[in-house]
Amino acid sequence: MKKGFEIVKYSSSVADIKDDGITVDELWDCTKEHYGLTAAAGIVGATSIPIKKIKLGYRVAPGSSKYTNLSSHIGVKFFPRAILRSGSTSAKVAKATFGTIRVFGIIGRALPFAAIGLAVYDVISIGQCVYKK
Amino acid sequence: MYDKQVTREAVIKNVIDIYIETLGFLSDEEKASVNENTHIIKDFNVVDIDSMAFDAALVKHFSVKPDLEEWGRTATIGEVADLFIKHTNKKS
Repeated sequence: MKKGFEIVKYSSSVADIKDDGITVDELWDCTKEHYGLTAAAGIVGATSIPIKKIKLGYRVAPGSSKYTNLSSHIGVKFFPRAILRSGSTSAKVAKATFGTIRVFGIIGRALPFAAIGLAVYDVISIGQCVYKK
Repeated sequence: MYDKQVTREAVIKNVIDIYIETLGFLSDEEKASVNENTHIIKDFNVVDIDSMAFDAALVKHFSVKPDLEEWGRTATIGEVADLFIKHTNKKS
């Protein structure tokens, strides 16, 4: 049995990571390029952020949420008549799926799912761009 | 007293009509079941945007906007009608 210390493996102080030739600048370029293309989608995504109803001048009805989103506010304020035709198949599907036949209500409820999809798309798109370079 | 009662009934009818028109998805049977005791949110699982649209339509119809906190305590068609009667009377 040996006494004292023994170096079992030498490791360099400099990380031995293979260089793929990707620079931070390239990553940044890809990110800018990607978000240039999806800026509009990002703005649309922002309409699903919860906002206090009181701040927008709405009451909080008993049994309802304290929060709403920008999509609902825009719908009520500027497009109060934008509803699907009552009794139509699309209206029945919308009521069963989203609880409303109001167009902006459907948009507001569908957007969080679209935002998750966009986030996944963002990562894949930037990644693909970087590895193409 | 009689006039007041007639007015209240008329306002309740107005509120019911606005409610049915704003939601847009009620069946004929459901429409017929709406009365002053109908809970605006719970009875027909009304979502946010529809309740907000209903409130906005009431404000437009009666040309008054009640205090949000006081309005927030009203849950049924009858309570909402009473609130708007109160505020319309205050205005005139």
